[in-house]
Formats: sequence, C-alpha cells, structure tokens
Amino acid sequence: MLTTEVVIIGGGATGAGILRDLSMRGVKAILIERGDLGCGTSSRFHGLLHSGGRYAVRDKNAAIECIEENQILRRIGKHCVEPISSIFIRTPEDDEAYEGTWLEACKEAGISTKPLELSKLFEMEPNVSRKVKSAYLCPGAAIDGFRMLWQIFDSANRHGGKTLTYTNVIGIDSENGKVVGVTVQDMHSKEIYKIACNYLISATGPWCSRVAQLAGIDINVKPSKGSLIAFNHRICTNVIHRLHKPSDADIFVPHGTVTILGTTSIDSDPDDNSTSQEEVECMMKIGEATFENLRDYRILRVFAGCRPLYSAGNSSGRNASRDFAAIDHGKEHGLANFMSVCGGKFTTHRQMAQKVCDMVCPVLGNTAKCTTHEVPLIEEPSEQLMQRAKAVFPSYAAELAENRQGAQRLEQLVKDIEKDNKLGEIVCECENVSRAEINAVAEDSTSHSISDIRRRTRLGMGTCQGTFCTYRAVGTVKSLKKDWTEDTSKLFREFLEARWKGIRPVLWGNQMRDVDLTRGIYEVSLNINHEEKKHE
Amino acid sequence: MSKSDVVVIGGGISGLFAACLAAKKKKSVTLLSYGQGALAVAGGIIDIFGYDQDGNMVKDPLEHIKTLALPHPYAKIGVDHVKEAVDAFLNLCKESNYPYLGNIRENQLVPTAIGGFKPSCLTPMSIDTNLFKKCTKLVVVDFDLLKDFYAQLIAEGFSKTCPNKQISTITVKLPYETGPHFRDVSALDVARLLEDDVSILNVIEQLKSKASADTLFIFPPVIGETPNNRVLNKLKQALCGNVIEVSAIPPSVTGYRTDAMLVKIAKTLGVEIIEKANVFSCVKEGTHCKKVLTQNYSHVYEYEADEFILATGGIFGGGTVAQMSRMFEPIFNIEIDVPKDNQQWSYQYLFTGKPQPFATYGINTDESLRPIDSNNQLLYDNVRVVGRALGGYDFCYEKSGNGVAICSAYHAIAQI
Repeated sequence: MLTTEVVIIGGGATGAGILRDLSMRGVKAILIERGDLGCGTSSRFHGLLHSGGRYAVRDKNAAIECIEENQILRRIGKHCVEPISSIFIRTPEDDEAYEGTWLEACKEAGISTKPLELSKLFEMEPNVSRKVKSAYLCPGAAIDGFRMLWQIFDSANRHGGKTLTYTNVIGIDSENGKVVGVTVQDMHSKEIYKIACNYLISATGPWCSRVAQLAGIDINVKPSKGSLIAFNHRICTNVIHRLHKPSDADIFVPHGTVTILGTTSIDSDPDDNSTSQEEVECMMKIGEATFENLRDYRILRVFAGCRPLYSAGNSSGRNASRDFAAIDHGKEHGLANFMSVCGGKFTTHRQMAQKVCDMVCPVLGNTAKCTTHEVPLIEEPSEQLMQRAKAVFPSYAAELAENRQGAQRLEQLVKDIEKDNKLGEIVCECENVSRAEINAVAEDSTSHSISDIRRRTRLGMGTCQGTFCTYRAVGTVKSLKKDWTEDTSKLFREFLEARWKGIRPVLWGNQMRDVDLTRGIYEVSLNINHEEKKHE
Repeated sequence: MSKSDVVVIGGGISGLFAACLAAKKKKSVTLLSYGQGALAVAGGIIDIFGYDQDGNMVKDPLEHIKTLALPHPYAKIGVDHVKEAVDAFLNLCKESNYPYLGNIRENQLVPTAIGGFKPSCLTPMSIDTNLFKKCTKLVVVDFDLLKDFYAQLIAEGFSKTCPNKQISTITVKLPYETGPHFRDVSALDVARLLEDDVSILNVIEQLKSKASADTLFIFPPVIGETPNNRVLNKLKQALCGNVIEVSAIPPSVTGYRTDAMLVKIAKTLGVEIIEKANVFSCVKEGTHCKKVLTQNYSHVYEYEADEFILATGGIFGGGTVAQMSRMFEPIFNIEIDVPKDNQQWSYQYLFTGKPQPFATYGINTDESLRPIDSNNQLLYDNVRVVGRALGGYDFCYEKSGNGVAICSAYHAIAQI
C-alpha cells in the first residue's frame, strides 16, 4: 500500500497548484488523475491570462486576485505566457453608461486602463469593426494552459510531488470520522489498490459533487459548460474583450497562429463537452460585432469545457460567483481531513492553492511558508544550449521546443538529435514538433496514447489537425515498442477520432476539405478500417 | 474568346480522361485546370469497387456494380459503359507505354504503408500484386532521411497480416545533405534521384546482396518520376524482378506518374490545356450553357463550347462548396440538397463502418449525368458532371474514387 501525507484528486490547474505548493513546503503528496493531466476544464478554456478587467465591476476581489496573479504568472511561467495586451472595446451594441462604472472599478482594483485613440486601435488591430466607439488597453495576455500545467507538474515533481495518471478514485476510506485514505483503480491494468493518507483534497472542479458522494457527502457544485471556437488565423494581435457586462462569446484570444473565441455558459453534465451547431451560430453572430468579417475565417475546430460553479444558494450560470470555494468537510459535514476545492479561474489557480495549503498545512503540523510565487516553473536554458539547439532544429523550432519542454529536456533532445540526425525530422510541421520530442514524451510513463503526447507537445493542434502528422506520430511511437503502441489501428483511430470530435460540429468550409483529405489518406490509401484482416 | 467543341473544367483524372476520350472522337477540346487533381493525393491506383455496404470485401467489382441502385453513379453509367471505360483506360495506358495491370472482374490486394492491404482493381506495373503471393521473404526498403515512410511500422504490420512470410527491413543511404538549412526529403525527391543512372546504381548496390527469386523488395512510392517504367525495369533487372511499391501518404508519386501520362496523351491528341484557369461563372440561355468565364488577375476570359464537362471534384477539390446548412456548385450555381442541421451530415465517429452521409452529397444528375434540381428538372442540357462532384456514393468507404472518375468520364463523352 502506498502511504503519503496528502492525496490530491484531480490533475487540473487547481490540483497541480496544490501539489506544487505542498511539495515546496516539504509535504509529501500524491496527485491522482483519472485521465491524462489537464484533460478536463484546465485545458478547455480560452487560454486567457485575465487582467481582472472582466470582473472589476461585479466582483472586486476576483479582479484584484486576477491582476496580482497575472503579474506573478508572467514572471514564474514566462514560457507559457504570450506577453501581449488585452483591449476592451465598446461597440454600438454595448451600454455606454457601463464604460464609466467599469473604468472606476478597474481603478479601484488596480488594473491599468489606457485609453486608445480609435485610429491607434485600427492600426494595432486592423480587423476590428470600424463601428467601435471606444477602446482601452489592459494588461491581459494569452496563456498556454497545457504547457503551464505540464510545467507546474514538472516543478512539483522536482520538489518530490508525485502524480498517478489514468487512476480513478473509487472509494474514500475513513475511520472514526476522519479520512485515512482512498481506494483507486488503475484504468489500464484494472488493478485496485489503496493509498493511505492523512489528508484528502478533492480538486476535481465540476466533478467535485461526484467525488464527495463517494464519502456520502452532498455539495452543490453546478457544472456550467462553455464552448469555444478555434480559428485557423491570428485574427487579432492582442486579446479583444467587449466592454460590457460579462456575456457569451465576447472574448477573442490569439495564440500563436490561431485565435480562440468564447464562450457560452450552459448548465450541463461535467462529462459533456459537446458543442451544438446552435451554439456555434450564436457565438459567430455575437463575434461579428467585434470582427465583421468573422465568417470569412476558417474554423479549425470547436471544443468545450465545464466550469465548476459552487453556490451555497441557487444561482447558476453567469450569475454564480467565479470565486473559488474551499469546503472543509470536517466543519461542514463531520468528516475530518477532507476538503473539496472548486471554482476559481486558471489565472488565479496559484493563489487558490496557496490559500488551501495555508489551511491544510497547520492540520499536518507543517508551518512552512508558501514560495510558489517566487520560484520560476522551469529553469532558463543557457545561451550555449540554445546555440546548440538552433544548430539541430529548423527555423524557430528550437525556441518552441524549449518553451514546451524546458531547458533540462531540451538538452536531452539536442543530444539525441546530435547523435542521430533522423530524430531532428519534424513530425508536426504546424507546431514544429520533432521526432526526438515525440520520442521523449512517448517514453514518459504518463503517456498512453498519441493524444497524451499532443497535450505535451501541441502535436496535431495546428492547421492540418492531424491529417499528416498522425501517420508520422504512429510510425514514430511504434518503434518504441511500448504496451500502448501494440495496436496500430487503435493508435490511428484514437487520435483521428479525437481530432474529428472538434471538427464535426463545424463540418463546412475549409475544415470540411481537410476532413476529405484525411479520409482520402487514412481510409483510401492506408485502409485503416480494414488493415487488420489477414492476407490470404 | 475561344471556341471549341468541348470544354472540360478540371484537370484531375476524370477531366483528363474525358478530354482524351473526346479528342479521340475528333472533337476540339479545351481543358481548363486550376491547381492539381487528387491523383497527387490518392495515387495512380484505380479503385473500382472495394467494399460493399456491410464492409465486406468485394470479390468481383463488375458483378457488384450490377447490384447497385440509383443514385449511385455506377447505376447511371451502366455495366456496359463501366466495362468499356475500363477497357478504354487500359488501352490508353498501353498505347502510352505505361500499361496497367488487373481487370475489372477481380480485386487485387495492394500493400499499404502501414503493412496492410487495400483492395483495388487496376495498378501500374510497379504494383504487381502477384509478386506478393509468390515471394516468401519481404524486405521493406527504407531510405535514410526520407520523410513519411516508416519501415518498422510496415514490417510489423506485415508480420501480422502475412504471418508465414519472413520479414526484414533495410535502410538505403542517400547522398543528401542534412541540417537545419535543408528541407525534408520527400518521396518525389527520391523518385527524381532514382531517375539518375548513377544514383540508381548506388541504390542497387546497397540492396542486391539480399536479392533472390523469392525475396520481394517493398519500396515507398519512389520508383521513378516519369511514366515509362524505366526505373522499375532497372530495379527489377538487378533484384530478380521482385520489386513493389506501397500505397502511401501524399505526395503520391504513383499518382504523379499517371497524371503525367494523361497530360502527355491529351497534348498528343491536340487537347488545349489552359493551366491556372480559375473558372468562376457561366453564361447560359435557358438550360443551355453558352460559355464559361475564367479570371486571372484582372482579366476575364471566355470559353465557348457546344458541350461542357464539369470535372472540378468534390469538397476537397473545391468543385463543391459547403457552408453552414448549405452545399452548392459554384460555377453553374447548382444547389445540392443537404440537411439544414450539419449534425446530420456525419456520424459521431469518423471511421464508423458505414458510409458517411456528407461524403455522398454531390450534384444530382439524370442518367446521362446532366445536372437536375430536386424536382428532377433539367438544369443544363449540355453540361455533364463527372468524377467526385457527383452525388450518391462514398468513394472512401467503398473504394471507388478513380473508378467512378474514369467511368463517368467515359459515359459523358459517349453521349457527345
């Protein structure tokens, strides 16, 4: 039986932040995730590093937390943040009176709002509607959720934190009104075993109610689904917000070569991440107020995530608080050493973790102070390493690989390619992912499918959506001869079907042409549907 | 303004074949092409009919075609024209010294780049599937630095699909420079390299010690760029005749060869091929098309003809265009009947063991392939639709793409 001080359930931003914080305070902790790290809500959002401006009017505390954390994450996670700005624009459809209220609220929260001349706005953002009435520059930015999570886990692991992925919690074990451990099942081997601990934290977001149910506790967490559209273009240079009361489809966030538009807010089941055509149409209509020619851009895919909105009362959707809740089940429900943490935002995950650890650590007799805001998530590469990397990677791939993998792993990748130049081959051209990088991530014990590799490398997330790189990725991982690479057909299907899921709700325009090409390659030329049949 | 008997719009396999057939009938033909046809993607293998609706492999494509009902294009074309079309294609290839193997009464099992097989009907000489039956040893030939070919993956696949054969891999070194300043090596690069007499000797030198009467060398599609089998014959001579190419991902060199062959034949027959001709509209009188219009930069050109062949492809080729809740053909402005809710266009899974609805969406035609509307009213009396723009079949699922292309081209020209 495994023994640890704290078990954290949930491998999203909240759980990751808590694992890192505890580990840095010297508390032994194991994090358990039923899927892959970051496969839930934490990767299914805009990728917006909030300035706090969006919350300034309604929730001053949230706004202050946002701007504080914005500055911290830009510092400790600079490889995950694209240091752009956010621009709040007021269109003719937006209430003029709100502008003054908003400016006042931002000032109180300490969020800078620099007025932009319209001519300057159109120079900075030529695609924005000419009907815009006023614009302000704020310190929001784009953040890569996958990458930051992966780096938080890396940092936590360096401090002794452990993670178990594809491990499902099936029971919460208690004795004398205290949690003493959990019963878990390995999703691949189906093995069931126990982990003993002194404290249990459920950081499972929209699944918090389900996990608490394992201990017979009812809590009111309302999952609220938000859908997002990824466009195959950088429509804007900076984040574009509508200057109005927070609403649907009013944020555009550019990431590298794509732009994400979101979102919606619909009460739903936490496992539901589907998007309907109506939602897409609704978002496109609203989005056209910001970019009039929005429909000319190719949609890459759509995706959706579930927010965990905790309410003691009955409010839901956009009326429920975006603040986080830490529910001490000892105080509330008579089951000690068990806490559920939900709500909050990706931007403020570190501060949430700090507050949670400040509550949990005294129970464990630990009095160390939080240092997560002081230590960068990954080390900086040396000048010399970057020179070596640039000699083996094409164009800007060296920098991308460094951003994704950090200095330590980059050094290994460079060594691998220096030894065997075939490993320098670019498998995913859209995101510049090399064979060496695929190999390294595939070798990691947390990888069990090509989608797992995708979350750590951005493989297949660009323009071709896996059309070309799926074959290459399968060819690459097959040579590693892992248990999970045994079934070729399964490898192909798993990845292509995962890509298809996001394309299906927007099956028209150029994304449909891409689907035709995908089928042409995999169904016509490679016959992946039938290849398992014996040759007679 | 240009005037010809027949204007063919589209330079893929259906357009090129239609142009050749029309020219053989002594018609003056203008072919307007824009970009490159799908031969470069799917290759020069001619699928006629591979799988029935239940996913069972079809033994005799011609027999199966007899069972098909409307609106399948083969049902409109009819068995006689399907047979004649295949004969016409085989003859054309033979005359051009790039003969094809196979016949319409049986499917062959073409090896794929994942070490499996796909049923197909007609193949170039470089894919002689009899060699696969004959040889007991397989050597998968990898080329050092060649992108998009994974010998290990292929070898492992064959070890499962052909458990009784002895399988190995070999890597041929090529004289390419590497490093961040050089681009990746594609199948087309290697094909060009093999056209060079010295380079091919180098390759043969590295392989010949493994050659024997029952050893088959499995190549990526790199056996020469030109449609004359010169490279193939050299390799065969040196390697006991046992050489085969696999069906692989683009760029598909086997398709480039077939494309080059058809272009050459068309030009020899006097077809005027206009490249980069982006046809955007037509001029009609009643249901009669007078001319089509192309636009390059600011110039609009007019192409008049008695008969028009629409061979612009499907969604992939841009011959049909999909929007939310709508699909249409943009040159002749033909609406395609599709469900308003896009969710109904497809199934939850992409590879689902049945044809995808969206793949069957295309232009509806009468039995002579002229476009009709949803009330079966004739839209154009002198426009015939060939190839992928036709509705009523899922070429990916049933493996019938190039087959429908050549058969519909033949059927259309037979009526002119």
